[in-house]
This record gives sequence, C-alpha cells and structure tokens, in this order.
Amino acid sequence: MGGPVAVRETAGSPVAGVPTDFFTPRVPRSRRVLRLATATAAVAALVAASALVVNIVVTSCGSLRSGLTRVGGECVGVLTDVGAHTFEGLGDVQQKIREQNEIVRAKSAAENQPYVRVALLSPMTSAEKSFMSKAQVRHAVQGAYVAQVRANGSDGTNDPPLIELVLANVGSRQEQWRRVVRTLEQLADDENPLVAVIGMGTSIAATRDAAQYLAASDSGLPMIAGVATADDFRDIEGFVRASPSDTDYVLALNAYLQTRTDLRKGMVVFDESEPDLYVRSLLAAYRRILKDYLLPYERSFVGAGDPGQRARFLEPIATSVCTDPKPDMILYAGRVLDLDDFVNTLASRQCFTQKPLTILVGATGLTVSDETAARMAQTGITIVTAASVHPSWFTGDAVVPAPKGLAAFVEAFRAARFGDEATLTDGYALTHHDAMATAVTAIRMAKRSKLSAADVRGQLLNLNKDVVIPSAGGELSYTTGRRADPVGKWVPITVLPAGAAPIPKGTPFITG
Amino acid sequence: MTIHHRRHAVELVREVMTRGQGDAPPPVLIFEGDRGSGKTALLNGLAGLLDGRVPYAHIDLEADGRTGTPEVLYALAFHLGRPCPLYGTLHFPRLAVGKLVMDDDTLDLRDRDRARQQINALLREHRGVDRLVTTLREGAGDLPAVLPAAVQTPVRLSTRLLATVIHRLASWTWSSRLVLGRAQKWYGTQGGPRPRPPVETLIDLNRWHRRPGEANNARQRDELLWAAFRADLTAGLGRRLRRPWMPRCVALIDNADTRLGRHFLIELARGRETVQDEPLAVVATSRAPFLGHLPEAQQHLLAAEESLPTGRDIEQPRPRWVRYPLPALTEADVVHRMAREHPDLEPRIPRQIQQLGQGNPLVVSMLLTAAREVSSWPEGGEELALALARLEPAPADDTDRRQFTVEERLIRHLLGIPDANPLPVDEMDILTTCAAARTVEQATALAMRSGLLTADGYAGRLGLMFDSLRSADPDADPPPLRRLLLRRLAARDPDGGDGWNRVHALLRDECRARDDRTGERYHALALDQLEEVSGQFAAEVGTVPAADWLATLRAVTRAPTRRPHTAPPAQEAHRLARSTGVDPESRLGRVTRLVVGLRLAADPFTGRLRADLHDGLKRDYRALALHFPDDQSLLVAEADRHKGWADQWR
Repeated sequence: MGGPVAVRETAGSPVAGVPTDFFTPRVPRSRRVLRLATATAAVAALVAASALVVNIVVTSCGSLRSGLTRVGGECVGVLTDVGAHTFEGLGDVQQKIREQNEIVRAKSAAENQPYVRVALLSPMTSAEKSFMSKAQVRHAVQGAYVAQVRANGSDGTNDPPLIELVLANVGSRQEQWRRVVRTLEQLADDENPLVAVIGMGTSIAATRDAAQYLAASDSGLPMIAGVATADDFRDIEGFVRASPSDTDYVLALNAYLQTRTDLRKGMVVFDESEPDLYVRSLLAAYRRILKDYLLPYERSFVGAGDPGQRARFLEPIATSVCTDPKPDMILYAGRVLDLDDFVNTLASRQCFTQKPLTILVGATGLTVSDETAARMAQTGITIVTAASVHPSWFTGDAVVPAPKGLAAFVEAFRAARFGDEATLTDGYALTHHDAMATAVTAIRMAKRSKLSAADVRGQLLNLNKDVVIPSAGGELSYTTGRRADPVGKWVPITVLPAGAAPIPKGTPFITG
Repeated sequence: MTIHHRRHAVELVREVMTRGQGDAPPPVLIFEGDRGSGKTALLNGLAGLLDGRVPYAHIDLEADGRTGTPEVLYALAFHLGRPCPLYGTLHFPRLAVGKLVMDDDTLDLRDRDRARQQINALLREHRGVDRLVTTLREGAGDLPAVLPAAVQTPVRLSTRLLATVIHRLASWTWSSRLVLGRAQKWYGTQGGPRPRPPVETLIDLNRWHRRPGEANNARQRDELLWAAFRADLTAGLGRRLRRPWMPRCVALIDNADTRLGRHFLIELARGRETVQDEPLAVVATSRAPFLGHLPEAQQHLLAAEESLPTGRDIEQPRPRWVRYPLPALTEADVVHRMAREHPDLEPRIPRQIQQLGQGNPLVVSMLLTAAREVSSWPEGGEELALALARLEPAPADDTDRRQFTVEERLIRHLLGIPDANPLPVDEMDILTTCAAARTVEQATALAMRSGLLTADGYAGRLGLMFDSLRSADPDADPPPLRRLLLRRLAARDPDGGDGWNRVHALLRDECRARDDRTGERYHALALDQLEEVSGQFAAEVGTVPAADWLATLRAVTRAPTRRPHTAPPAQEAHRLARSTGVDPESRLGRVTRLVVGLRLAADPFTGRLRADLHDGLKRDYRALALHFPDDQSLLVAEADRHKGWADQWR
C-alpha cells in the first residue's frame, strides 16, 4: 500500500493530512509495466491495423480485391479480374479480354477442364517520362488479346488448355516490377496456374531485373518478350522474345548499306540520359557491326528523361553535321519518342541545302507525322529504319513482301474491331501478338493434365523445326544457338519519307 | 468538509484493509466516541477516500428500513456491487436468489412438490443482472445521504448492456443453466462436500424467513445468507484474492452499538473464524463499548497513536476486535485550527470554546463558526452565550434540515434528536434537572424521582440520552451537554419545584446524609454559600495533607454558577470575595479568593480577560503554601500552573 503520507498531495482530501489516493491500490511495478506494454501493443496494433485498412482503402484501385495498389498515382499490380479496374485508354480492350476470359472459364467449367493463365506484363499506364506511349501500351494489349482469341478460337473452341489473359501493370516506368512479379509467382501455384509471362516492357534495366528475378524464381515462369530488343536479355534463362534483337536490327541495316554506296560516313548519336539497355545495346551494335562506316567522333544527348532540355542538347548536333568531315548518315541510338525532335533539329541545320542526311535507326516500328515528313523532304533528311514491321504490310499496296502468317493476324485484328488498325505500324500489336502466340504454342506443346509454368519454360527452345508458331512477323522458331533471339523473324527496311531512297526488292532481312 | 486530527484512524483502516498471503482475518475495527466526536464524519471521510478506488459499503444501522441481518446484507451487497477500477463489478447472485425466494410469501410450505415448482418458476422469471441489482436495491433500505450521487443509481449503462446480454442468454434453455445455474446450485452444496437439491434448501430458507420465531429459524436463515454473501464476494473477486497488493473491500458501519449492529457484527465475526483469506475489512463506529460480553482476549483497546497488533506473537494472537476511542481535540488543536481557519477571531475565544466543548469536534467546530460571526465581544463575560444564541447557517434547500440556534443544534446533536422531531419535553426536563447532579448515582436518583427511570435501569430514549450527559469521572470537567443543560437549569425559577436552588439543596442534603463532604461543599458552592465553603477549606489549611486539600478544592470549585458574568473575571472575583466581609489578607480571605477564583476559572462562560484572575490565584496559592508544612511544593506547583495560564490568557 501507500508510501509516506506527508509527501503526497493532500489537497481536496476529505481527511486532513491524508492524500486523496491513500487507499488506491498500489499496482506492482512489474504489473504496471506489463499492463502498459500490453496497452501499448494493443494501441500499436490498432493503429497499425487502422493504418493498414486506411492504406488499403486509400491505395486501392477499383474494387478492394482488384489486386491493384495505387503507387505514385498509378494503379500497379496484377489484374486477374480484368474488369475490376479500367486503365486509361484501355477500356474497350479490357472489356473484350474480360469477355474472352469469361468464355474460357465457362467453357472450362462446362467441360471440367482446367484453363491456364498468361500474364501480359507491361506498363499499362503512361506518363510524361514513360518509355511506352499510351498508344504503344494500347497496341501491345490489343496484340496480346488478338493472339488470345486466336488461341482459344472465337468461342473457346480450340484445343485445351484454353488461355486466360491477365494484365500485370508494372507502372509507366516499370519501377513496381518487384511487387508485380511476386504476385505472378503466387499465381503460378493457382488451381488455374499462370504458366507464362509475355510482354515484359521495353529494354530497360527494370525489365532485365524482372526477367532475372523470374529466371531464378522457383515458379519457373517462362518469359516471351514483345519489344525488349536489347542484347542483354539474350542469356537470361527462360526468356525469349518475339522481336529481333538490336544486333539483328543493325545487321539488317548493314545489309541495307551494302546496297547504298552513297552512304559511307556515319556519325553515331546516342541518348545518354538513362540506363537504357536498348540504347546501349544498339550503340554497341553500331560500333561493332558498322565500324567501317563510322567517323571518329560521336555525339550524345539527353533524351526522354528531360523533354525541356532536349532541344538544348540536340542543337550542337545540328551544328556538327555541317562541319567537316560532314557525315552522310546519322546512326541514331535513341528512343523513337525523341526522334521527332531530333529530326526537327537537324532540319534547321545550316548546311541542309548542301548535303542530304540519312538517319539510320533500328526500332520495332517507326512512323513520322505528315508535317515532319514534309519538313524532312524540304531539308534533305531521310530516315532508314530496320523494324519489326513495314508500314505497307497493313495497307493494300505493300511495297515489300510480307510474312506468311501476317494476313491471318491482320484479319483477326480487324475482326476485333478496335477501330484504330492504322496504328499497327508501330509494331507493338504484332510483336505482342507473336509473343502470346509463342507462349500458347509452348503451352500446347507441354500439354499435361497438371500443367506448370516450368513445363512451358522447358518447351521454349523446342519451338523449332516442325513446330509452327502462328506468328505474324515471320515463321518464328527458337534454338539453343540463338537462345532468346528468334530465328525467322523478318526485319524489313523502311524509308521515310516514302520514296526518298530506294528500297531493296525481295525478301527483307530474316533473323537467324 | 475536511475533517481534522483523524489521520491515525485512517491509517488504522488501511492496516485492516492490507492483505498478506494466508493471513488470519483482520480484526473488526471499531471507532468509539461520544455524539459529536466525529465518528460519522470519519466514516464519510473514509467513504470519500475509498470511492472509486476500492469497493466499499457504507451503511448506518440507525437508519430506518433495516430490521435484521438480511437487510444489512442486501445493503452491503448493493454498495459493494458498484463498479470499481481493478475490481470490476461484484455481483451477488446467490444472495439475490435467496432474497427472491425469501420474499415469496405465496410459497406452499405444506406441499413440497408444488413449492419446488413455484421456486423454479420464480427463478425463471427473475433472470439477468439488472433484476438482481434491483432486487438487492429494494432490500437495501435507506442509503447514507452523504454517499456520492453515483451510488444512488448504480445500474450504469455498462451494467445495463451486460444485463441485456445475460438476460437474453438466460432466456434460452441451453444457456440459462450457465447464467443462473451456479448461483442456484450453490444452495445445494453451500461449499460443503455433501450435495443436496438446491431447491430443497431454498424451500427451507423461505420457511425460516416466514417463521422466524420457531426454533432456530432466524439464526439458520442469517447463517445461510451470510454464507451466500461470502460465497458471492469470494467468487466475484476471483483471482484478485490472490493478489496481495489489492486491498480488502471495506464495510463502513455507522452506529454499530445498536442492537441490530451488535448482532450483525457478532454474526460477521463468527463467520470469519474459519476463513483464511478474508476479502472484507469491517470498520464500525460506536458511542459506547458494546463488547462487554465477549472475552477480553478477543479485544484490544488501542491508545491514541498505537498501531494494530501484528498477530505474529504466538503468546498474543491477533484480536478479533480492535477498539479505538477517537481522541478528543486538545486545546492546542483548537487554537491551531482557529489560527488556520479563523485567523481574525479574538485569540482567547477558542480557549473558552475548548473549555465548553471538551474536544468534541462538532461542538468546537460549530462554536468556532458561530464565534466568527459575532461582531463585538462584551467587556465582562458570557461570550459563549452570544455564540450559542446565534442561528446556525441556513441549510441548503434540497435537504430536510431545519435551522436552529447553535445551542439547540448542539443539544439535538448530542442527544441524537432528528430535525423533524421536537425536543422531547419530559425527557428534556428531567435531563435538565439531572444536569445538577455531580455523580451518576445522584443523577439516576433524580431521574427515578421523576418516574421516567425505573428502578431496574434506564428506560427508553432517556437511557441513551443519559450516556451523553455524564462523564465517568465526577471530578472531570463536565461534558458539553451538561454545561448546556445547566444553563437551562439556571434559567428556571431558582426557588421553583425543580429550580436551581431546590435541586442543589436537595443534592447537598443528600450528600451530607451520605457524609460526602466533597459533594456537600460542591452543591453548597453551587448555592453560592461561599462563606461556609471557604470557612471549611480555611479550617483545613495545615491540618489535612496538601494533596487531599488540593484535590477537594479542585472538585468543589467545579461547582456551576447560575449567575451571569457581567464583569471581567478579576473584578468579579474581587467583588464576590469582598461580599463575605472577611479580611482579605487573612488566611480565610485568601482561601475565599481562591475558591471564588477557581470557580470562575472552571466556568467557560466566565469572561475571556482571565490573565489577572490567574495572577491572583498564583499569589494566593503561594501565600497559602507557607501554611502547608508537609508539602508546600504542591501549592507552589499549582501557583506556577496558574502563572502559565495567566500568560496564555493574556
């Protein structure tokens, strides 16, 4: 009980000289500490739980169980129920995917057959500093969807297992790849397992890290990239791509230069703004494969990382092309997103009347606006690009031959009625279609009663010889010699503005 | 209101509340004191200190509505059942079940089968905590008015919510056994090894309660209810009983010296004999010792600052009862309090108040408060008469108190007469007459003469009033009630039937007949026969031992006076001594001044300017000391004491 009476507060006590708490039980210190600790822990747990709930509610995207989390204003994560949240600009495509997925589920339930999932891992959102534009994102999803429909048959009539497509958004700069691939790993153990990941985003470090993570993962998920062309990916286990590598692009350009005796002096211009694997890989390929054409000096600029500063960095390049030795061609190692600005800067060079200039670039697909094309024509600038597609493939007046599987793809694409088929020219729909088609072919090859991602991965390098992938960009196959790089991928040369330079007749460069 | 000088009493309470592992039950702590000694105020203060800290019950056994042990137990359970931090809310389901069954006067005691059905139906009807609490509240009687407001409505929201849940549970067949089963089942075993159908015990309980006069029915009923109360309290405290740092619950019982209180406490003490870890501390108040029939070894009388016996000494086991007479206020206490609370008051008034109040806290407190309201004091004396004549402060509108003069308020309080009742004329008359008596025997004889007392002892209310009138030592200062009644006696026609002169003459003659020389002189002095009394003392100077002469002088000069004090004490003494016509420098003259002076000094209504009076007494003592060759020092010492008092009154 109490201590010395005299030292405690007696004010207000009904008995003079006796503290008001005279009879208050003296809780032992150990008990007080325990109670305090318990209360503190309870409060902390309550606060944490509240914070968690608030965080979930605040950061949720769409329904609470959509699987997406709001990070930096973007909804990232894996959208297994594709209708649970709508990404900007993808509403109609997502609706179609959802309908297709419902068909898959209904069909599987009716026949008591399991279905499998394939995830399109890609930026689904776009921001100012994105590596993929909104249109490219949309086209990538469209391509994957078209391949899904083709794989399942329009009413889920194809052979099992049927394929459900889920969307995995790693964010506009792919910074949230880690949380996304972890979710994908978990989905690999699902009753209807995730058995392949396609897309993978662009050729940046985040894509490489995500690929390496999945390569080392117990999930065994195979990866079939759409537009990741950097040579760095070649040796990653379980990784293949439906697009040419950067080396393949430069080899195609090299083949083209054999036909152009007027182009002998090239200056390399490269983007140094980011740890961009595409740029680095393309630059290395220029230096390695086209070294006989290169002038001893190079120029760099800061690209999409800081649009406001771009013009300031590009202007010196426009000056340098007019000083001796003047280059015939620019070997451009930068993002296509920056190419318009680069062309416009070169168009203002002082020597444009004296010497035409050809820009060489390897890219998935490249187009320029009519305004830029006109300016290029006025200022003697020509772009020669080695790409995954040729714009004329999607029009009635093809100037170069097209791969055998292209027509079926284009037909299916048109049947999907997206309403913007003209934009097939950027190649994103085609390459993602081919990535999906490659994944489906591997899945069907590995067909088992209990299919796993590892089974599918094991089939990737068996996709050759008599195995036919219903791809649109060539008769793709994969070998142990070329590892991730496809054999049989067509890499046509495109000249912009059209007709500004001769195009070789006959079959374009084919990888392998 | 803050009470003073009761810290040690509060510490004693804490001692009986403190638990140790496996301790014997603590003694019942009894605070003893006269009316106005602050017993009730102490319990109120204790209730204030306990409220919200430790479960406690505060009951007044003089309050209406309690006729026996069951009602007191209901009140205890009801009060203890208030929510309290660390202790939770104590429920008393066994006691409530017992009360429900006891109160059913329709139970068919001739047909046992039907009685069983009736009890089962009754208990089915009364389920839930709210009904149990209400049941106990109905039986708890009046609550002390000073209790916190929360006590009056103890069924708080949390209890109501809990009650609703439990009531719902009890409504379902499968869960009703869970909720009420334990309380009912207890009546089958009562903690003992041999089970019996609970309903049989409950039928017996009903019979015992409805026919208390038969055999040992009342006692069996009370024992069973006590056991139910204890079982409820023990079960309610549960694991808390194993925590030695948690104090015992407390029962504060006011006026335990009533017949009901005596019975209740003895039942309580008997039930604690076999208990190892008693969960209840009992603190009671009493006006007079009431445990006379119990063995001395079971009791312990504490001195003023003494702690409780530890009980560790095998030779002296812990007593079951500890009595602590509440110490009266000392003159130093009163002066100190006056300096703190009434610093502007004339500094000699508190000494007069203490002389009248004799340390009674209520008397002292009321007179100090009244004195503060007096604007100016007379030159002569009768200062306290001014304070007594004042009206007490107006009571609050929401109470039943009425406003009286301070004098009547004190008389009412010291006699225990409620505001609603008029002062009883017959009893007041005889008490006023009896106030003249110096000894208990004389007072009893006077009372018997009135017919209000019978030969075989006190009768009725007068008997209780008599306790407040007398002090055990006839030569001690009179208690305040006697002083006040003497003033009433003085106000009568002195030569009337029971007038001052007639009564004192009667008593003087009676003392003379019994050869009580002290008594004879005492009443003679009260009759102002100064020459006669002084002559007798003067004649004894040098012939009787100094100690005896002084003791007689002190006893005799406590004789009251009926005359008001109109002049300063020294002047009054001089005038009275001169009125005898003796030579002031003679031995008789000095003895006469001594008798007059001492009588004035012993009267609290004598004027406050007493320094000269005590100086004169000092001189006369010193002069007379020369005439006591056997032991002059006693008178010199007496002279020195008066010198000190002279300084204090200066």
